[in-house]
Amino acid sequence: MNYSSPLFLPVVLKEKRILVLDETALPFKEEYLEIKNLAAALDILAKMKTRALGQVLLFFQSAILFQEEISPEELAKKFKELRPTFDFELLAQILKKQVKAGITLEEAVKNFIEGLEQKRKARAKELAKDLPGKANILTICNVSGELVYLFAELESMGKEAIFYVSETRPYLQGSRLTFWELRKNKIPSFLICDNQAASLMQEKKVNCVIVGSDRSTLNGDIINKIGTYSLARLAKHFGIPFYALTQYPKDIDINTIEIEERQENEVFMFLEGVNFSEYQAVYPSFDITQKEFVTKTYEIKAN
Amino acid sequence: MKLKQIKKAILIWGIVSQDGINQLKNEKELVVLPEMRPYLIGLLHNAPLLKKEGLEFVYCTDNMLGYLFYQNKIKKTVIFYKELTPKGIIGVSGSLYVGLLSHLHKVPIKILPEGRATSNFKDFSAKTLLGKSFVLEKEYFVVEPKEELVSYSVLR
Repeated sequence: MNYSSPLFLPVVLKEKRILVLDETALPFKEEYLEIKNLAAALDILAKMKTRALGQVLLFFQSAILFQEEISPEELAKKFKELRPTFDFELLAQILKKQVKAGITLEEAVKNFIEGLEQKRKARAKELAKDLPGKANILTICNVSGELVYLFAELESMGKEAIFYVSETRPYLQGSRLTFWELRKNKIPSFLICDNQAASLMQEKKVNCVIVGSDRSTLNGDIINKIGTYSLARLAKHFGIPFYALTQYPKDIDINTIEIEERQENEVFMFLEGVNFSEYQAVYPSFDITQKEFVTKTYEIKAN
Repeated sequence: MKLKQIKKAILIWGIVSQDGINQLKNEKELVVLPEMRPYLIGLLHNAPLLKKEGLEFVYCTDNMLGYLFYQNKIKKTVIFYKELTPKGIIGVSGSLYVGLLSHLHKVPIKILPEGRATSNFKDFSAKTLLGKSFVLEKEYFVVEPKEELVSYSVLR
């Protein structure tokens, strides 16, 4: 079977426009927003219309489209102001290195995207080899199509898999993105509320946890969507392996990385009709999982 | 509110009772109020009650609790239970999640009988959020939430 997901490549450059799959409109609409200027790119980033792999691609395509007005390093600073946890400086350095070697920005970005796709598939294959013959996988947030790659690899190995997708409040990346792309491909999946993870583990319904990561360190710590750390602690308690997909790990103390805190009103996302204006809320967008709770990382390293 | 503004708060889980409210008032600490999916007990039942009683609280989603424990923001957890059994307490969905996270972070847990739910809850699984579905398929699978046993070994 041909497995696919629009989240494999959610941002593309077409002529003089960047087309961005609006992840906040999913699953109800598969709609692409058009960006023609830097202000629009930054606005889309700030509103999380794209995230994860999408924001990486948005950075690279913006670096090309707006190269007359802004350098990659300056672009990285602007992106970082809006999404402080992610390592946009690293992306700028990747481009700088390539351009210094005589490659154009356009060629550098093209090579990166093609290379990344190959590396993601290879990473999924490596993970698939380690999973049992019947993998009951608990996951959170969304890894931009990579679980679909993973299922394809497992199937090719004659292995079975069921996914338990944690809905991932408040943005519901689990329900709206992961569960959506798995079900589009008719991949066996169940949806759960985030707080059901412990009972699922206790009842032995899951035999592994697989998550992505936004940041990682050389010694195996990760930063990922809020709720990841809870799953890691619980998994360790129940003796369930916890696997993380990482990229470009750095030699850095994980606790020195800023954890983005979003606006309070976003905690009430999708709760239309409820008057929460007088309630104060807290919204750390990511959390830290230290290596002692991570069974294994599957890495994409910088060249 | 920013994380750094939370010092040593009290986390509550379950349908808060009047006795619970009175005890929280005596503590005079900030209350961390998770939304408690799927029913949204936190939002629909506990928040209005705490507000009416003048208790200061900060709302969050359930999945933020691990990080709050990690950052040492929680000094005590109060779980409102449905039933006491010889093995432990029976509480609403997520009681084990909260109980275990508290236990693993060595945060003491207090248990109190739950109050009476006065709100109409619209959601009974991850299928809907305030009655709205975020899944396109008409037929799909969820794991139905259920009441959970939290053993005394976890509560200690």
